[in-house]
Amino acid sequence: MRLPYFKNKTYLSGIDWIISAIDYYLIRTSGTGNHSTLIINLEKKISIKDLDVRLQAIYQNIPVLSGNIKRDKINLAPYWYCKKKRQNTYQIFEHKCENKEEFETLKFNILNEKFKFCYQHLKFNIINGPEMYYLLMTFDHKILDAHGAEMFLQLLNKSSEEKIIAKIREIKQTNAAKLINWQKKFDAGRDIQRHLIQMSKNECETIGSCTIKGTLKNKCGQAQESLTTVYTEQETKVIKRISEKRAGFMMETAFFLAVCTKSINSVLSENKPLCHYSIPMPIDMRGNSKGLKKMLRNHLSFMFLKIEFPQKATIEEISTKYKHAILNEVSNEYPEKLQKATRLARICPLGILYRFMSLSMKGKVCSFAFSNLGESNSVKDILGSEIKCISHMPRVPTPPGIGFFFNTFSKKLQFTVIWNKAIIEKNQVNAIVNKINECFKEEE
Amino acid sequence: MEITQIKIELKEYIEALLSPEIEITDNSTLEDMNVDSLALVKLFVFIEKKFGVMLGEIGIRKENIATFGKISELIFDNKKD
Repeated sequence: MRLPYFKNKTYLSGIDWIISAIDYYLIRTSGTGNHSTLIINLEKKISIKDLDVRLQAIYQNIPVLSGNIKRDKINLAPYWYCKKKRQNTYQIFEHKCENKEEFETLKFNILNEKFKFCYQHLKFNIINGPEMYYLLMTFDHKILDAHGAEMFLQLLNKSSEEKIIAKIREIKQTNAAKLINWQKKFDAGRDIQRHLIQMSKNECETIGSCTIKGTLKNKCGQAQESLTTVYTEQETKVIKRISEKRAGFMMETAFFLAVCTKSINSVLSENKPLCHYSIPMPIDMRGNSKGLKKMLRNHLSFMFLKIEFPQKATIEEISTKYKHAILNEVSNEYPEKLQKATRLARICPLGILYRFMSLSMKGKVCSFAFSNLGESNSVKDILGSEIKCISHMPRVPTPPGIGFFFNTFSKKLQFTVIWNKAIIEKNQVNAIVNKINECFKEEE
Repeated sequence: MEITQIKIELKEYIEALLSPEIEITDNSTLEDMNVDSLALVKLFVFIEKKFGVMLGEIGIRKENIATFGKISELIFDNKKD
């Protein structure tokens, strides 16, 4: 069978470059880059050999997976480069654990472990214990975004190399951001800049003294910890009902944002009469494309949501503020404009770009990281083992140093909080999670 | 604008935005049409720009936007000619 064709050099999009800037910053401040881990809880044990065979087939046919960003001296636009010689740059590890505590320790180490070399973008950890079977897939955001990672799992399920290649044929390489339409890009950049300046007028709340200067001084040992809550199908139904009652029909994102804001505020900024919260929310820009077509690299944009938070605001009031902020972003087409504007940012070296990103927000980039991925329904089992649940565990830059991430699998809501150990205590995070859970319960 | 014209334009927009796997009929629910919360906001913005109907001001209830037919009727009842 003829192999699918992949170019060994493709230009990055503006958003890819922004993601690379976050990676650059994360490596310098915490030692580990902008990667994320999918925690997949399985029904039964999977075979490491089987996983390896399938990964080899995938890697031999998608050389892009072993590439990396590069930039020539003359041509300023960065590109993704993959070597002609195909390499299997992934790693698989197998661990045994006796109990939940051991699993948590392993998970903590995996979350904070960096990739071995710059051409490695995927790592797998199989963890087996009494009555618990997990596959942890750590992926680099430079090559896959959260939805892309779920699509990658579909490839793993193909039982033979022929079937894998047939599936790989669906994948298209991300189109290069063309070096044309400068006026449109400048206009989009101007609109985004004005929007960010408007947003930065009131300084947003961040955790403690979490500023860029403080972070850079404290370069090492900024490990990140995570806490995942999986709600049952019944609990998820109740949460949906509460969300509908308090924020409106199908307004879960605004409701989750409101709940997280209120909870974090009650623990961290209780004494201020008026606070401002700023959240950059990633959104998937794949639109109507189906299948694996847009699996590789980032198909994201961001909504910049900023709200005023009077101390006694109710969940209903905060949800309404977020709904207005989302409506404002969509009606002004800011996510689309950001995609266009960031193409110009590609001439900026990574270090300067991150400085730019934080300078426009006066060093306080945002109050917390947030995403609501919705239903993860692209894959139900892996290598013949049924998936009980999937949760996403991305790393969070500091600032903000804390992030809340929601997704649903098999009608069960999963909620993960990630925080930087250097800036917030576990008991404070527990208090925030308890407050969130209180909001997810029906009033008696 | 007649309700049939509203339905045609609304259907075209939903198909372009979400590519639902089913044929959209009056009884198609938001779930059938792959409408999630973000797509719903986009749909509201489209309705506001195309038909001048500010759904936020009217006050949306689940029963008003539960199906494609209901959304079309809501636009028809509130559109500015």
